[in-house]
Amino acid sequence: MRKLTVLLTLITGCAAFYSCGVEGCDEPMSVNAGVTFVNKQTQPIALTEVTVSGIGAPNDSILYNAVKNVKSVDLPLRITSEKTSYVFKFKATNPDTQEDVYINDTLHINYTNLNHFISEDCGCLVYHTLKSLEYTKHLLDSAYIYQPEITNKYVQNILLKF
Amino acid sequence: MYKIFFLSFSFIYLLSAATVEAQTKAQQAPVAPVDSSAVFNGLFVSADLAGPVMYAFNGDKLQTEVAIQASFKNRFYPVLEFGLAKAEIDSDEGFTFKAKPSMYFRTGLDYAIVRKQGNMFFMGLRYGVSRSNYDIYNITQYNDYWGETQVVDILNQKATAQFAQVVAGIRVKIIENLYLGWDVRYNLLFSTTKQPESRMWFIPGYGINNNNSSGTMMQFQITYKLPFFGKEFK
Repeated sequence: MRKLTVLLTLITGCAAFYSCGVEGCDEPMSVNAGVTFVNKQTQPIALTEVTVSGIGAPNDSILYNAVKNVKSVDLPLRITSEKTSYVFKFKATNPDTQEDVYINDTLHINYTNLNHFISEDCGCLVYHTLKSLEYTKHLLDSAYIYQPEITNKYVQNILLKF
Repeated sequence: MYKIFFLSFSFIYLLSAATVEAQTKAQQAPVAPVDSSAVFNGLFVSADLAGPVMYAFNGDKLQTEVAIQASFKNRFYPVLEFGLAKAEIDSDEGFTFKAKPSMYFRTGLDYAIVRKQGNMFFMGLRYGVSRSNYDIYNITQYNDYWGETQVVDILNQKATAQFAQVVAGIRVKIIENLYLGWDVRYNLLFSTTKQPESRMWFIPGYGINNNNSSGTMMQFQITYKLPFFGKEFK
């Protein structure tokens, strides 16, 4: 009986080994700069219509295509460079003629990159730290860095003031 | 769920086997009385066999350890566990994770819930500390929108972890002073060193840290009771 007990102990233990281990990736795997549109009082606003394209992006470079009532956009930054540029095409109304017009602004984002390994299943992400912004001021009033650290946790990183 | 089934099944079987055995022996010979007055009942030295066996099969992670455990009143078993772990894991994604041999340490207490004929079912707690030095090679990164790809290495990473384990297991007497047993451990990660370039993914003495979550690990021990310390329970 003792031998049987020992044998069962061994078999049960060995079988249970195969039940161990947690697999899969539950982490968010996108790292984007969160860009929020605000008014002069820094209150969030929704823009009538926005189209966003990355300068130098291959193929169809339109990231947001004439999206209406937009309060924010998420912009992926380049991982092999420390500067990324986007063109924003805003739809606005001419106050004199009441006609719809489209106005372009360009946003240049300067930052540093940091590799960040998570796990075997998730792999490695590239985090960014914002350094400075350059922009045109056709419709845009100003741009601010709100939270410089860009990780896989969504936050507002950049405020575009109108 | 079937881990619980395995554990419950083993526990019930162990009890029933021990009971039958006790009844058989009771018919054959009188059982020696338990020395209930003794406080210190022995010193045990054990080694984990699961780590080396799994390493022989997989060859990617080695975790081997020894433990010293005392017995008080045949119920309380304070324990010190020392181990060594290393890893070299080739990922399906193409990168290689290499952790240099690192030490870990655990301390805690087991409580014998059921004990019979030298066998016992126990539960316990552990507190562990471990340190790891590791490198990750050939990580390929993609950026779909920008159409970019790059291969990077993350080197010279050093981190420390603190964790706890809730332990449940059985130990069976094979011959005089020699035991075999296994336990299942539910891991709870307290903290790891925050590093900018990596999360402490492989934690010696704990296992894989996926998503900073809890997990389980198992051990299979061979235990020797030092014959010149204390008296064993019957």
